[in-house]
Formats: sequence, C-alpha cells, structure tokens
Amino acid sequence: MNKNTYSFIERNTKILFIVLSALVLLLAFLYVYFINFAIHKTALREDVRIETMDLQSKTSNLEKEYLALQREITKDFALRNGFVDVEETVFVSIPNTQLSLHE
Amino acid sequence: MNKKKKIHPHIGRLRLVMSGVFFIALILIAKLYQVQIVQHEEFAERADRQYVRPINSSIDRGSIFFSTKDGDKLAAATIKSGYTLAVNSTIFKKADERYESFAEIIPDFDREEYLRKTAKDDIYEELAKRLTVEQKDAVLALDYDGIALYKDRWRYYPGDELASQVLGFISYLDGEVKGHYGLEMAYQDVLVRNTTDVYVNFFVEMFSGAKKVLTDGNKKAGSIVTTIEPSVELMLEDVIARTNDKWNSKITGGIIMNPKNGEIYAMAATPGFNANDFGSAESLDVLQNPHVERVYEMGSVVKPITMAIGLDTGAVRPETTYLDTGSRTINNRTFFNYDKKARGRVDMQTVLSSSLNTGVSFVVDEVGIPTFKKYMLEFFGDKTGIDLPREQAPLVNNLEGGKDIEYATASFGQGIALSPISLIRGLAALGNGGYLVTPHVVKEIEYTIGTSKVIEVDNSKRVFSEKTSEDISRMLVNVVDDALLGGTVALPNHTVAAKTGTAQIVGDDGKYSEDLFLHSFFGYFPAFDPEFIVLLYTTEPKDVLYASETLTAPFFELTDFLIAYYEIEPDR
Repeated sequence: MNKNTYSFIERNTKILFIVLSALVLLLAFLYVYFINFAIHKTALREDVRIETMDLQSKTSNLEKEYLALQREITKDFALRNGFVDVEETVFVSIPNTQLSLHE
Repeated sequence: MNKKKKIHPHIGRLRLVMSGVFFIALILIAKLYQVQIVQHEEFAERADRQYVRPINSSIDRGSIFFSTKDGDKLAAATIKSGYTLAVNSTIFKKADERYESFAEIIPDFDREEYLRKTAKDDIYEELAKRLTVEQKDAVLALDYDGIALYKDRWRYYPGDELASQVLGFISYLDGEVKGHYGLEMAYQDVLVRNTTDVYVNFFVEMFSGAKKVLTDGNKKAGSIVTTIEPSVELMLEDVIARTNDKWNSKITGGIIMNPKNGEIYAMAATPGFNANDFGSAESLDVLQNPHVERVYEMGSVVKPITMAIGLDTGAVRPETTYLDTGSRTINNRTFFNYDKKARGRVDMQTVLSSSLNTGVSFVVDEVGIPTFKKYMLEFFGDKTGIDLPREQAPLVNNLEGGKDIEYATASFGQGIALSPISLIRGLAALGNGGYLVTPHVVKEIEYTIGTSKVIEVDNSKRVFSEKTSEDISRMLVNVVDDALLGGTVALPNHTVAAKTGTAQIVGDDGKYSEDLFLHSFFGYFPAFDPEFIVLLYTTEPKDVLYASETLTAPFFELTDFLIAYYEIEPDR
C-alpha cells in the first residue's frame, strides 16, 4: 500500500466504513432475496412436477379405460348391436381435399 | 487533572458490529422460540399428518408410448402416483366401529386384516396401497387420529397384458430399479432416472438443476415412442388367444410388420402375462418374448425363400419342371412330401402350391450347395439386430459344412432353427424388392431436455433383385388364389401372397415326433407393394394336422381388419 492510498484511507475512514457496511448489507439482502427466490421457484417446480404426475395418473386411468373398452369392441359385439356385413364391397376414390396455397 | 479517557474509534465500530450480530442472534432465538415452543403443537400435528413419506421406493422413470396410425401417442408404460394408507395403532382408537367408513371409500377393504393390523401396538402398519386422490381426500375428511397417508409412485402399464412381452417390466435388483425383459431392459439407460425422494431438498435441487444444465449427465434421459399400434396389437392378441384356445396349443404367436422399413406394428404370444402383476405369471417362460428369444424349426414357410434363391440365381423359373417321385434319398436318408405322394412332372408353381419337399430340394440341386449356403447365411447367418434384448441367433450349424441332406432339409425349413423375428425379416425380402430390413419397435426417443431423436435403421442390404421379388410374389399370390383351401379364401379386391408351414417338432427322445407339430403361416399384402407382413405360428396344436386348418382363418381375419383399419386400396 503506497503512501497516497494510506493517507486517503486515513482521511475517509468514516465514509469508507459506511460505504462498506452498506455494501455488506446490500449483498446480505440480495443473498437472502435470491435464496428466497430460488426456493420459491424450486417449490413451484416441485408443485408443477407433482401436478404433472397427478395428471399423468389420471390420464393413465383414462387410457386403461379406453383400452378396456376397445377390447370389448369386437365383431361379435358389433353384430349383436345390429351391424350387418355388406354383401358387396364398393370402393370409392376420395380426391385430395387438402387446399393448396400454390397456383 | 480530570483527563477524559479517549476511546479508540475502532472500539466504537466493533461495538456497533457486535450489536448487529447480537440483534440478529436475538431474532433467530426469538424465531426458534416461536417455532419450538409457541407453535410446537401445531407443527407436531402437521408433521403427523404429512402425506409424503421419506422412502426410497418411489420411482421416477421415462414413459413408453404406443403410436396410433393417426400419429397419436398412447401410454404403454408410465408412472402413476397415489397414496398409501397407514395407521399408528398406538393412537388410533375405535377400530371396529370405524371399519365401515374405510370400506365405503376403499373397495374390497379386508376387515380381518384391518382389525388385525389396528390391534397391533405398532406405529406403522399399512392398511391400503395405491389410493387415488379422491380416496385420499375422503380418508382425510374422516379426520381420525393416528391415520396417515403417504404419497407413492409406481410403474404402471395401462394396457395390463397388452404387448407385455415387448414392454417387459421393472423391479428392484440390488437396491436399484431395473428393467427386466423387453423395452424396459433394452432402453434402461434412457428410461432410468435417479430414484427420487418425495421430500425436496431445495439446495440440492438448485445445484443439481444447475449441474444438469452444465453437464451432459442428464442428456440421455427420456421417453421412448414405439411403432406398436395399440388397436392392431389388441386385435392380434385377441386372434392368437382364440386360436390358442381353439386348438389347445402350447404357444401361439404372431408378428405384424411393415415389410418395407421393419417397423413392427404388433407382436404378441399367448400365454402372456399382466405387466402390472408379473409376479402372478404362470411361469418364468411366459415373461420371455418368444419371437426374439427362442428359435424353432419353422417348416415350409421357408420354401418361398429357397424358391426365390432359385429364381434370383436363374437356376429355375416358375415354369421349370422336375419329376416328383414323392421322396428323395440323400446321404442314405430319405425324406418325403408331406403326404408321401408322387405327382410326376410338375412345375415350380406346383412346388409352392402343393408344398413339395422334393421340389425345393430340386431347387437346391439346381442352385448348387455353395450358392444356396451363401444365400441362406445372408438371411439367417446372424441376428436381426432388433432393439429388444436377448435376441437368439438362428441355429444354422447344418449349413456350415453340413452334408447334402442338411441343405435339402434346410430348403424346407427343417434342421435349421430360426427365431420368428429372423424368419419374418427374411420373408419380408420376398415382397419388398429384395431388401433385408432391420425389425424395430422404437421409432423415436424424446429426451427430457426437450430434444428428440428419430431412430434410423439400416434397411439397405439387398439379397434379391426386384424381378425376383415380383416373380416370387406372383407365385405366392397363385398359392392363395388357387391352392390355399382350394382358393376359397382369396380376397376379391386385394392380392395376398401367402404360404403355410407345418414342421415336425423334436420330442424329448431327440427324434422328430409323429404327433407334435409347429404350424406357421405368413403372408403379405397388397402383394406387389406390400404394406403389411403377418407371421403366425402355433406350437403343438391338438387333433389337427396342417397349418392351413389352424392358421388360415386367423390370418385372413387379421388381413381383413388391417385392410379396413388402414383403408388399403384394392389392387385388383
């Protein structure tokens, strides 16, 4: 530390103390703020994850139901409910119904 | 002289700092007093009512999806969450009169077991597992002391038995959740997640989150999308189950594949198992995927491959004739046609239509053993490379420097053992222009980091020319139109190329049994631009001789379904 620096510190001790104290307080505040912020976001993320899993569970219940119902739809089921096999199959050609933006 | 003592300025600052520290300590002590003393009862009660439990049996794992023909995804394996109901019987009272209130919420709530567990002097006894959110809320509403609900997660397969031999299942092994069998095993490194605690450690979460971003440690984690079409899989499983029951077979199985790119739409064998309850499987054997993990002598369905080799080499043409004497003797061993009858001079179409063993052995003679061997090893010399575990390599030792008789029997599918997946790949080459495709059941991996990878397989290996493919397809269409059950099953508007096979099975004495058979049936359609190839087989069917009797109807039931479901245009 050279003489000039030392004399500057000697002359401004009070100001430096106040500035550094304020800086420490600011950093402490920011630390607490960001930690809280991070905890809040992590908690939110965990909540979303749990909600996602709950929804996934509900979806899987519906999927199970869907597959179980699909198992029941057989030709016998259709015949019992009035379905009749066509005597002669007629095939039709379906034109492309997509619209085109090109000329 | 009353000289005032001078206080050093640093001492003043030190006191200030000390005051600050003391003040903060005071706040912390006050907070601790509030939490530990003032709010003790409240927090203790909340802790008692915690739903979450710090156990390590809760799992997280990537999903497996089926894909519908319209491109939608349907969960084949997922994670389901729910609640475990437990009781602290040292606190819980009036167990007997409270039974009904639980029984109204939980179906099949066992009274005897409930009373036994609540009578114990134990702080933790599980009363019911896997409760839904609604059931959990209803239990909480009872507001009984000593009752706790713990959050849990487990692997869940919405389809139960559906494609279970393709999916496999997971279980704990050496303290780790691991996939056993099927895709759960094959894609363990993609599906696996760190076993997660349901409690959250915020600091660990924050820094592990940063680590995930900064390192590639989590890049492989994802979910997989299969080529299995759920409606087709359901249909196949229904058809093979009925076939198995009808003929009282040991095993009946089937594969439906896209012959052009190797995508497997359905793969099933019965008996199977329920992946949600694999412990109740009737034996360990049913947990295996027999299409991949077992080999069989498949019989006459191999004949079209032999014939195609003859066509491709130019050794025979469809109109080439030979003299069928009903049997041949090579290396002092005699083999016969299936009916031991001689048909005189017949052409190659008749060889396929009447499934003549002597005819395909004639083709081998014309092709020459070295060339026949080279072709056969192109087809069956190695595994297919399917993305399912424990693939069994074809047993083709008889082709490695065997006697002439071994090549003759191989020409009609005896003496060599093939896995059904290996066979269907070879048969697909007949219709797809001569390419050996790579069968696969996974088409995409969706990574948790947001990217995805489309699985690309090598389908470039060519074994036949386009012309050979057309010629053999035409011959197989003639088999269906003119020969199979007298031509009565041919479809009026769609060409189907197909062939049956009936193979003898080696009995316990090491000799071919006279009454144990493996029936097989394959077909692809539309024959000259095939979109589907179907392979069916049934082992040891009772009181029936030929595959044309057991598997023709199931095959055409599947064909009709696929044509209607995928709206396949008529090609004739």
